[in-house]
Amino acid sequence: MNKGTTTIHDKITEHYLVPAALFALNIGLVHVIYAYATHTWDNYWHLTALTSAPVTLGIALLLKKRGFLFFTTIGYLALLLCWP
Amino acid sequence: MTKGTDRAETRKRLFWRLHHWVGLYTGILIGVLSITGAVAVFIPEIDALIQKHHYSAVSTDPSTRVPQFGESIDSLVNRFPDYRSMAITLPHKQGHVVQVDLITPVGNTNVRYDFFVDGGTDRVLGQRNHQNSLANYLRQMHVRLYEGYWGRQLVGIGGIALAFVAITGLVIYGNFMKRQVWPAIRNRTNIRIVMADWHKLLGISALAFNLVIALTGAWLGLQPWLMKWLDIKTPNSYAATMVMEPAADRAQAIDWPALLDAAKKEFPDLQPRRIVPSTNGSGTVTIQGNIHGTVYERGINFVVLSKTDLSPMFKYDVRQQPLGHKFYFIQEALHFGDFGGLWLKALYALLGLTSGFLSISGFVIYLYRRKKKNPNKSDALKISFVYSMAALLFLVVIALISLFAGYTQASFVAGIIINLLLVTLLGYAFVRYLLRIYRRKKDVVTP
Repeated sequence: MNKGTTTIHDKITEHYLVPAALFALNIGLVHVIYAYATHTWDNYWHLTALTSAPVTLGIALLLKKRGFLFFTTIGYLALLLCWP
Repeated sequence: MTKGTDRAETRKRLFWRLHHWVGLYTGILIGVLSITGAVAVFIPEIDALIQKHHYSAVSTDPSTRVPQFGESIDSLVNRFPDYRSMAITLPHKQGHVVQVDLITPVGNTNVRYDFFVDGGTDRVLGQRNHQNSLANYLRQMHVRLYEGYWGRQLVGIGGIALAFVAITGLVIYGNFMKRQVWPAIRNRTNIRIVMADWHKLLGISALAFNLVIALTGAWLGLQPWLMKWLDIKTPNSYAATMVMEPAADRAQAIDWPALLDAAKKEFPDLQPRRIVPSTNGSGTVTIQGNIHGTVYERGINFVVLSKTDLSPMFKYDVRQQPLGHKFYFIQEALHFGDFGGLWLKALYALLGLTSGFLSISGFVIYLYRRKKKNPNKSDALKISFVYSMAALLFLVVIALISLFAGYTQASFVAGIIINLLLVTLLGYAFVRYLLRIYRRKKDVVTP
């Protein structure tokens, strides 16, 4: 196994992607509770997207796959900015 | 090692030192604010329970669709004809009473009373001195540590400190994790390592939340100073013209159900929460409230109606205001988490307690490191326990004085304790700094 590649992979995941996903998860949890409490979703697609965002972020944090963490974090931030 | 790596290492060490010293000197403040903040988010719920169980103030169902309180207001106006101001808080849940906040002169001072009115029978069920209430204690302790001069600004500085340790913590996170993985906790027998791991784990897990709380808290705490320095005006201020004598204004009768109907017609999306009749001679009534689903400070939307003919005079709808207004009014809602029901408050309380844990765990790590250098130092856990108990004792003693002796006495005692602590802390830091300079000079002279 290429030791150097493994170290870089771990470092990017543990030092950057995990904190970024946790950052998004903090916002996502507040966002989804707010949406359910105030019924402020546009339609059921919006509600599904809002609900699945913290769930997928949580799964991504458990699995810790680099691409999964990256895309779920970016995906949620896009949802937050484009379809709040 | 290359020059670039050297510079990066120096920078990381600098961030670590900043994180360490700012956390150490403001940790106790952050800890107290964390605990009081976790409780403060539930103030309305706690107060509702106190009203129900301590004052037996429960409202029966009104026969009409709006709560009845006109006769109670008339009786209060007759009882306190010189009152300075009045605010009627409408119930938002079944069984909750109509609350009338009345500020009236008693001797040489003004006293703020809360009267509880049954919205079904229009009868005054009880009263209390607002300043000595538990709800006021919880709010004032979190907002200004019960210190009247610069307590609010100290809290604001606590917010800046928390933001600072959160950001520096993020910068040094990678360096401290090294090959560790989130969320693993290492060797469970070594308390310092366990504490350090929990410190990193919770610190990074609640970072976004703590950063929001810190920045909004810093703004709310330093708001009076910042608004003065930057010449910022309260965005939704409205000054009505005086049309009558204040005494005539106070005595003027109001048709409350018709007033609420007129407000509904003028501002359909407004959910009325507070009604504030004028007492200064402007002959107006302000109906403040919330707009469903918006994340702004509670009660900042309002409509001003004339007392005489209920005609609209001014309307403030935050949705139609510029970005600056929205930014101004989002701070308190984001800080207290009162825009998403009880579950959001529970999440806020849980995440809010992490900063308290971080300040304690940070202190424990510091004490263990100190003990490692000098084994004669006292036990780290014992010292942390004593400090935590002292902070809790402060909160309990001030609460008891406030509830049983009064707000003024509690504020006086809190002022002495806080200012004494502040002077001691600053004095200690200054003496340490001078000693360090002295030792450095001594080392240079005698190598």
